Amino acid sequence: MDFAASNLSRTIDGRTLYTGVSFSLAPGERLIVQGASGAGKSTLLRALAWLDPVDAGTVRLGGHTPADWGVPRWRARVAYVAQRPPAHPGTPAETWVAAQRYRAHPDDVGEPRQWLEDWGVRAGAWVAPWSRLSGGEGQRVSLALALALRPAVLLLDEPTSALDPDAAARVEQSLAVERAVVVTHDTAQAARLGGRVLWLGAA
Amino acid sequence: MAGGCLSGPIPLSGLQLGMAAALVLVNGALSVWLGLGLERKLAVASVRTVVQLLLVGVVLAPVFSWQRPGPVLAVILGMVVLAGREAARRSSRRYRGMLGASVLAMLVGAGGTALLGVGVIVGAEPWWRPQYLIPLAGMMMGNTLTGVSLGLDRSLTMLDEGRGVIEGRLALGATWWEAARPVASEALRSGMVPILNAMSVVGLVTLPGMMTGQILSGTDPAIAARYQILIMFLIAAATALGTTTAVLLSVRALFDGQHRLRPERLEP
Repeated sequence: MDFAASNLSRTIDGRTLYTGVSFSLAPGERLIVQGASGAGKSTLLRALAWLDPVDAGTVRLGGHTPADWGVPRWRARVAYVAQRPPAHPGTPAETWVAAQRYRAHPDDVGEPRQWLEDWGVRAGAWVAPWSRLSGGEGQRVSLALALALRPAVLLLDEPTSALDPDAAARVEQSLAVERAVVVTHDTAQAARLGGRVLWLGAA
Repeated sequence: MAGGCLSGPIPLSGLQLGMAAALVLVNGALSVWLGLGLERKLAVASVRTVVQLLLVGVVLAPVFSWQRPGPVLAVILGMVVLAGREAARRSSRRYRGMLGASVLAMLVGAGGTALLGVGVIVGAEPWWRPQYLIPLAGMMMGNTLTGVSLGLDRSLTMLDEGRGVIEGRLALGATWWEAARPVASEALRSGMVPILNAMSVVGLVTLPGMMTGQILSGTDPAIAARYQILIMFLIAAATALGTTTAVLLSVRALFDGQHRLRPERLEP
C-alpha cells in the first residue's frame, strides 16, 4: 500500500507553514522532515495524522483518503506519536486497555511490552502512572503503543529527543524496518535512519 | 388557595422592609470601619435585590390575574433566556454558539421538567396554572443554571487544557466521542455535585426556600415536606437533563466532522 501526500498546504494567520508538499512512500521507506524551529514540521506531521486541518491537498493510503478509510481507522493505520507523551490519566497498561475498546482498534495488534523489553525500559513503567514516568520512559511507551497497532505508517516527532545515545540506538534499530515520516533535528540520526529528506521553511 | 392553608402570611409594610434593610446598613458600617471595601458591592447588591424583586412582583401580578396560558408561557420563556445567558456568562471559557446551546439546555432541562412536574405529576388544572408553574420553573431555573455553568466550565477547561490527552486518544484510533467521553462524564459529575450535596443535607442543615415559604403561608408542614420532596427530584432531573445537554453540545462544538479537536473555536 502506497502512502502519498499531494500538494499539501497550510497557512495560519497569513503565515505559510508549508505549501505544495508532495511525496510518496513505499513500505519500509523513511522520509526525514527537517527545517528550522517553527517551520511547520510538527504541523505537517499532525496534518498527515488528520489531527490538524490542511488548506489544500490530500493524503492517501493505498489510494484512499482519511475520509474514505474513516478518520479513526486512518489514525490507527497512520500512527502519530507526539514529541512529548500525553499526560494520560492512569497507567500505560490502562491506556492500552481503553484503546482496545475503540471501534477502530485493529484486530491484529502486537504487545507493547515486547518493544519496551527490547529497548531496556524497566518492566514497572508499564503499570506506573504516566505522571511518574521519566521523559525517556514516557517517550518510549508512547512509541511502543503506536508500534503495537502495527500501523502501515508511523509519524514520529523527534522520537528520541529524551533519550541518551545508547537508548536512542536501540529505538532506531526497531524503526529501521518501519515505514515512517520522522521529524528530527539530529542530522546524524537522519543519516542512520536513511531515506529522503524533506526541507521545510526558508521558502 | 392550596389545600391545607390555615391563614395567609402577614403582609409586609415598607417600614418592615426598611427595618430589614437597616441590618444591611450595619454590615456596611462594619465594612467601612474595618476597611473591607465591601460597602459599594453591598449597596449595589441591595439595590438590585429591591428593584429586581419589586419588578418581578409588578410583572407577575397581571400574569396571575389574567389566568391565560400565553403570558404564563412568555414568562417561562423569558426565564429560560435569562438563565441561559447567565449560565453562559459564568463559564470561564466560551465558544461561538455557546449562548444558543446554553439557552437550549435551560429550555430542555428546566422548562421541560417544570412543565412535566406541574402538568403531569402534580396534575394542576389547567396545566399552565401560574401559581404552580412559575415558582416551580423558577426553582428549576436557578438550580439548572448552576449545573449548566459548572458543567460547561469544566468541559471547556478540560478540552482546552487536556488537548494532549484527547489527541493522544485520537491518535490511537479513538472516535471524537471515545476520546471525549471521559471529559463529558467528568463535566456532568461536577455539574451535579451541588444538587447531590443539597439532597443529602436537605431538612437537616437547610430548610429549603419553597418549604419555608409554604409554611409561612400556613401550609401544614407535612404537605410542605411532600412538595419539597417532589421539588428536589424535579430539580435533580432538571439539572441532570440541562447539564447533559449543555456538556454534550459543548464537546461536540469543539470537534469538527472529521474527529479533529479544534481548540481555536474557543473564544480568547
